[in-house]
Amino acid sequence: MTLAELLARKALLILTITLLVATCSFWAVHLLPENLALQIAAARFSGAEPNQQLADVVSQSYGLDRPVIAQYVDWLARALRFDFGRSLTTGREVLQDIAHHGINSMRTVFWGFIAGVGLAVPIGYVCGRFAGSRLDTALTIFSAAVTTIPSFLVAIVMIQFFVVELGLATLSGTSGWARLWVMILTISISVSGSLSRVIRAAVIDVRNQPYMQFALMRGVPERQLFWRHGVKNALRPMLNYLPVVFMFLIYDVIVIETVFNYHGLGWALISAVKALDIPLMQGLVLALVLFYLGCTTLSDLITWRVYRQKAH
Amino acid sequence: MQRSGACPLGIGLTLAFCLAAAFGPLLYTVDPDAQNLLMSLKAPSQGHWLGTDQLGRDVLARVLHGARYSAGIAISVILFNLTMGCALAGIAMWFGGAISTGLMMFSDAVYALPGLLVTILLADVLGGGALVIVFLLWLVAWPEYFRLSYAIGAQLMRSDHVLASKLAGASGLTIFRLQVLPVMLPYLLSLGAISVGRIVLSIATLGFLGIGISPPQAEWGMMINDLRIYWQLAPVQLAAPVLAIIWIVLALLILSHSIPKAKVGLG
Repeated sequence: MTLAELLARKALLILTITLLVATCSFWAVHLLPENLALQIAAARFSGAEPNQQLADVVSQSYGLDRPVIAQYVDWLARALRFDFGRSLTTGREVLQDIAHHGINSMRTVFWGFIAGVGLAVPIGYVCGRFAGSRLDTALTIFSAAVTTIPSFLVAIVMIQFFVVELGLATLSGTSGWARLWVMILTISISVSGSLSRVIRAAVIDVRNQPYMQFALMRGVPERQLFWRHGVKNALRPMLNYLPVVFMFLIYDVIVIETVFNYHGLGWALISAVKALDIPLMQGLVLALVLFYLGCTTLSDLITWRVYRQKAH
Repeated sequence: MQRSGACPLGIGLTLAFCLAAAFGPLLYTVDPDAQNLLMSLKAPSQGHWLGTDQLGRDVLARVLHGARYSAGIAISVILFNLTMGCALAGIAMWFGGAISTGLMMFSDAVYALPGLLVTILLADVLGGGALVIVFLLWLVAWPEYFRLSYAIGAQLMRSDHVLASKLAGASGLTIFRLQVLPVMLPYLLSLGAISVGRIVLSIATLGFLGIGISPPQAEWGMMINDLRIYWQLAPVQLAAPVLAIIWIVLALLILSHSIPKAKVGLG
């Protein structure tokens, strides 16, 4: 596959999914049994009892009295330009809110991902290199436990241990490392669980390849052999697994930010859902989906770059 | 390693869970929704075996009803997925051409979505309840089953015995029922067994986030979220749903790791 072909395919996928999600979120809202205008009125002018008159005003100013199809086309056109309107609770532009929370999320996700891979690679390598040993069993049980336990439980335990018991971190303020490091550790643990198992399997697989066995018998030192000839093949399953890791990362952003009460995209999404802040909700979901797709595209590009000779 | 012991252990743990979900609420007949604010956060006692939660509701009864809720949703989602996956794969294989390409592209697009996001987006507007959760979890999971059945089925359709049946004039439905389905089903069932654990975790996560739940319903994730601020006062009550989740997911993990190996040994 050439680079242009790969990019075209990815661009098509991203466009399809964006349209799919935008369509989903539009119809989900407009097929609501309740009167949308009344709900927006209730959210926008909290305090005043929502009545039909207010609903009519809202209906007119939001263009809800137009035919549904016209609204749908308009919504798609605006969604493709990332124009989601104004948040019903904060009154700010949705895009502004997304940018504000996105920076906070990026900080934890980026370092969480780096730390997670940094944790998974050594664990997976050691497990695969010494497969069957006690160390391998212990580490495998650890990673199985991490994948078994839902990430909100891991987060609760981390808060109990590091914040409440040891007092090594805080839960207030947004950007200080005193707060971030516990979140990053939590994300990295939940990322490393399944990733280290993939790496373990890949290392075992590569070490059992005939060419590796042959070189070993010829007397090539084990370490030199693995780093020179094994590592590139062992990395491939890991790169292929990255999209799944990104998917878990998105879930973690939502769950862990909610538990830690950290004002990022996930926290904002859950708050928007609770407050029925529909424009913000739609914008955040689309932003997270696009972020995820961007990450998978990046990992596909890396895979392509590393292995392109093989494709011929 | 203890490979031989793993399979009975997994089956035992899963069976114990299924029995608890099926008969627990019948044997332990305390009402899970009955509130008694005077009895809130009481330690385990004769009347309340696992104590009471912040509203004075019986925790054991809620854990048992939560088990039934999770098990019911998980089983319905898997059943929906199995039928839908098979049916769509059958349609795609029989008609081929544009329909099959279109279905593949659509399933690829759905497959590439982070499921939890779609669930959160739609659960809120569709309202809560078990049926909505079943629908949403099915909505984001069917491509996996479709792709697997299609991959197996497409290979079968090119085989000689299916060609022979076609030439003999067998209808598409007959070929599907007699020659494709029996081969497909074991693969689909083992995919189902693996994904039960994931579905249970998703249900708990959604409950924890407070999404798609209609409040009096007992649900483990929501119980954990409600009780976590009382962890010093009510450690047993908090531990009960936590251990229930870990129990079932661990049981299914052990089971799904031992099933494929048993099958390879047989075949």
